[in-house]
Amino acid sequence: MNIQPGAVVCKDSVVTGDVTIGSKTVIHPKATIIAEAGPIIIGENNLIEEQSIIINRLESNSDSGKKRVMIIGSNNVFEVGCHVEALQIGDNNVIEMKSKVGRDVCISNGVVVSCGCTLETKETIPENTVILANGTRRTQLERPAAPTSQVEFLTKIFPTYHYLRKAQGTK
Amino acid sequence: MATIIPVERVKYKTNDGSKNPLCYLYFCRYCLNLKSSDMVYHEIDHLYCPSCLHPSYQREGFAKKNRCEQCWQCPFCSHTLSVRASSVLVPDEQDPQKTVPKKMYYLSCSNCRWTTRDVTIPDQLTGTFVSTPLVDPNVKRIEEIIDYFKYLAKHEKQEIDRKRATTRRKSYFGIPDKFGLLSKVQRRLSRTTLSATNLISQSSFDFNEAEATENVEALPESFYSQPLEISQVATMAQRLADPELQPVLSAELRPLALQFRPRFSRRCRQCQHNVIKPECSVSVTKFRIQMCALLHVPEVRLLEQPNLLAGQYCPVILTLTNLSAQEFHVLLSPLTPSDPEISAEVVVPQEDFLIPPEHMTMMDGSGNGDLAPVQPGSVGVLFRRENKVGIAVLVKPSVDKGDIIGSFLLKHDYVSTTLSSSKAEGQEEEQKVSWLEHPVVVNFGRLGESSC
Repeated sequence: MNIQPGAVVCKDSVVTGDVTIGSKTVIHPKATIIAEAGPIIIGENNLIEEQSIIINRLESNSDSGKKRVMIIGSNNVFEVGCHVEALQIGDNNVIEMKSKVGRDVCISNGVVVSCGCTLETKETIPENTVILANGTRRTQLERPAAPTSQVEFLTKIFPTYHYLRKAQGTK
Repeated sequence: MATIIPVERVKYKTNDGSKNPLCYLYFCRYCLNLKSSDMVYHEIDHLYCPSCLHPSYQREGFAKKNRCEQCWQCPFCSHTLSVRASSVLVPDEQDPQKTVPKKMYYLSCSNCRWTTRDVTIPDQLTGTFVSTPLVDPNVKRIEEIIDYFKYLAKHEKQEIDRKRATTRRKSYFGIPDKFGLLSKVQRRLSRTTLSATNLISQSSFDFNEAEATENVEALPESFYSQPLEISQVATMAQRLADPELQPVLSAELRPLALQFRPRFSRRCRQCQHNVIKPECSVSVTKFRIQMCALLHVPEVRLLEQPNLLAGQYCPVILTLTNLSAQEFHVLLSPLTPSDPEISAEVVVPQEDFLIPPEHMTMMDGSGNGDLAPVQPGSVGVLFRRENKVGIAVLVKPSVDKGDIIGSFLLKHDYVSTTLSSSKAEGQEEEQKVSWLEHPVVVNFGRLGESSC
């Protein structure tokens, strides 16, 4: 586990395997990040909320020897209860509550996956798409805002209420 | 309507022959009968905006096209739009070198994240968005056609009046003026006949009739050569939701004014008395008159799915609940099956029993002590709880498969207080006790199914 200085990772979260967490990323308690089939690299300024599950799942059938790297970019928000197995996630995305993103999906930048949506098929979601729960999709002109203000607030508040995992490079 | 218990199992029959669960029925205390939705008039009491709760009456709403002036609807998903503010750095008025943050407002949908910025509507300085009315290119032509129609209608009316005047004049000619009324009649007739002023009105109208042509514009080349971007085209529902503009592309979608919703008052068709009347204030959920059947008639429910065997008398437990403020004397009696879908015989207890209202009984459940125990295979009162009575009945299915449906008659007393006018003291309340009968139809389920 490689936690960059500036990242806030609560001890109550489940982080197993080779996980790299970039600076200014906040990981809430009860979040789950499991790197089974290979390493997970998480970028900067992300917000991973409670009960969200990010798994680089080990498939039992073929290519069990191959290592697959899951790369998550910056400024993403993983809201409460989401389940993400996608190997490639870009920047400025919002994965809303209780949505599920399967392994074969490739999410580019500025994508909003609405509450309760399920994405299972093999596809690349184009930029700035909003996917609604009933399947309709929309392209918006602006990307979703980065969670900077929330990340700043939580960076100040979390140390007073939760135990944090120590970052690399700090005493 | 989503319900916790399956309300469709027990239905009450109303005088129009329809069967409905008790929660869908009204009770008219003047006719002393259950009324279904078809037996009442549904009148609009007033309109209100579902978002800002601004009330308005029908005429006022009609002038505003039944739409709110302040609240907006997302054109993409029909959710209510909320006003969001963003601060923009604007050069200061006094010092052009400095930039000052200024609040600009835009509309945003919390459901699908559509914003007015997506369709390049500029942010506004104030929080209230006002709609800009569209100019219809066909308005001039439509007004021309309406004027021509009015002109034709006027001429036709004049023709009819002329004919009527000449026939009338024939019949009154030569009658001596005995009672001095002829002058009055003549004056009335002169109003309908062609007067000089009427004749002067347009004798001709300059109107261009529409010309039919066979030449139709060809489809532009882009339809054949360019691939279709589905995400850029508005869906049919989105297009028809805005009939004024009918946007084809999703970049043309604009926020729609939120439509008013009506608040109904219901009136019995037979006696014209109100059955439901809401309060004038929109935010109050109480009613002035609330004659829902649940509050005036004991409610029959199936306790659990019974285990039914064809051709045998099977025990079934029904519960009767009293949600009214008065104590009910209830008597169940069998009903000769006149409905073709009745497929079971129901044996009900012959004695009458009481169902007290809520909060009137002892909380220690002593009501159950003086009940005679019901033998298995017979009918009677099984248990009592506050305002609920459990009855054991026997059901004998007469078919092999399908839903087993039985019916019986529910008789109960009802104390009605109606206002009666008496000449001496004005209106006074009259209490009348009457026995009401309601045919109840119960769907007992299928053979062999049991809840355990």
